[in-house]
Amino acid sequence: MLGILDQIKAKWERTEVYKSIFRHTYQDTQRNRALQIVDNVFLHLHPVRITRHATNIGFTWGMGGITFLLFIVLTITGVILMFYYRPAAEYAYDDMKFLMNDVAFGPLMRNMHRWAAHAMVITVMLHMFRVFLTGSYKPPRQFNWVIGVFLLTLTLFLSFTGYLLPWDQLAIWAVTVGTNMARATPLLGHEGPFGPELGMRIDNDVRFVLLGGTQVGPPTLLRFYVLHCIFLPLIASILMIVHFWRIRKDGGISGPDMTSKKF
Amino acid sequence: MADDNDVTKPTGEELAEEPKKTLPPITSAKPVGGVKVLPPLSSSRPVGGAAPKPPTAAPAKPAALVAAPRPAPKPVPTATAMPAASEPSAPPVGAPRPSPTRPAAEVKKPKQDKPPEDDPGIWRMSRKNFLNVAGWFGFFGFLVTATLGALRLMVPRVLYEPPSAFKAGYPEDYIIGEVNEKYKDEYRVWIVRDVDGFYALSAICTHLGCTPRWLASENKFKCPCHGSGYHKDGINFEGPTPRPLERLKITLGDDGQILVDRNVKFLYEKGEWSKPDAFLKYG
Repeated sequence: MLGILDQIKAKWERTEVYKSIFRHTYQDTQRNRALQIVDNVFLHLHPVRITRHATNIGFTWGMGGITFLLFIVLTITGVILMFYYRPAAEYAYDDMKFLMNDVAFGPLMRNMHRWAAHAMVITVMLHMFRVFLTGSYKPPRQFNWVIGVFLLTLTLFLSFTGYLLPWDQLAIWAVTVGTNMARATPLLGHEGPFGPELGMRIDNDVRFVLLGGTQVGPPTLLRFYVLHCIFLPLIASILMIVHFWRIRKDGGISGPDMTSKKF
Repeated sequence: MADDNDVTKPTGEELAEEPKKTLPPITSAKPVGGVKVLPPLSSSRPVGGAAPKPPTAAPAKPAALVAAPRPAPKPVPTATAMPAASEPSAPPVGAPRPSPTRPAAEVKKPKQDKPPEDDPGIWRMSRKNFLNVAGWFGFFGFLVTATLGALRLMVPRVLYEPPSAFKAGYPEDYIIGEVNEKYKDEYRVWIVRDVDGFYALSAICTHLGCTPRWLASENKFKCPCHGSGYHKDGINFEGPTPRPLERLKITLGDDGQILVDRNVKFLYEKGEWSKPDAFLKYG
């Protein structure tokens, strides 16, 4: 009986399907360990070999990785929330209430999304703080620091656009207050320096484009929804790809100065 | 071989200026470098194949150059002299004899080529290059147009918002000294009846844009967001707000009703409250 199973297993492992999915054996050899990383589209993000200091959690805090993990959590829970949420003024608030009261695991998904969003803002800042403290923004990593600044801005903007979507009083007034700052944008805001001189009015300046109107209203909800669910995550993903790729190109995670006498 | 040279010589002299400019200085500076620089400019293959060989001829070249120095009107003669001089003196490379002449002949061909610093690159307008340039123009033209179009798309032509101007009823319906909140919900405007007349206050906090509340018992406007406070006339006196509330254009319509236009603002700090439309005189 066992012999038959073994034969079937052996036959299965010789098929094209098996071999095209599992490209190598699982013997614990140096080569196989490297292949497991290199042959996997998700794992190959990691270098096959890293320096010893790169595993030192006290040096990196793992904040970049945690931020990325939170981004994945937010993407998954966000997609789940989209099944119940309609970004129209008539429905948005009721859909949010429906999710919280009548959908199985709805509150869990929404709260995960909310807390992960809060956490991501914090971890992005801590990541930046660590990079600053360890001097990892210095050449050759200065380009990646700039990418990181863009990613920080995108994180904050993602957070801000998501704030409006519950469409309750807190959301509307928070976004009203937030977008009123855009009135004072230099050149592009109708109350900013040189704005009126360039022909900026309340109905054609940068705030108007952001809101889709002169005040926070249904068009704003739709705009922020599209920005929050499609546009900003897409841009952030592209920048993250560059960010991660750049780490490798710049020589991996920066480390302590190995030439100093301490080592 | 001799035929080859005879054919190339006239063409070289017809467009004499450019090849002359390129060749003599380079060869005089460094024979090997001269051959190295030129091939990329000319059509690639044959020269590329021949390129390694000239160095063999190189040692002899300086001699030829010294004999006929810079003003030489002919890059060609030096080239023809090369094989003659090199054949006896440079045996190290064995077989290919005819090759040294060939690079020289090939080098003549790209007549229109200029030294790299003068080569306008993509902007060199020629029949060959026209479609290239036109294609890039089209590509960037499309990108710019599409971007501008997308930006315009983000600015709607029609707004489903309350109109900026509205009628606020007859003056005699107002009570003297009262702050009227009838139009606050829809239009965010208070209409205040003074002893002398009317003024319209925008119910937008000048701190960060929340809607303040009229507290009749305390005779003040108070913003719930950050605690900014305003007197009844709109002047700020507490909280973080930097300036008074804004007044709006208020007039009397032909039908005897009060007209308020929210698009026209009067700012106290600019001294605009004294303008005629900022206050509606009414006995």
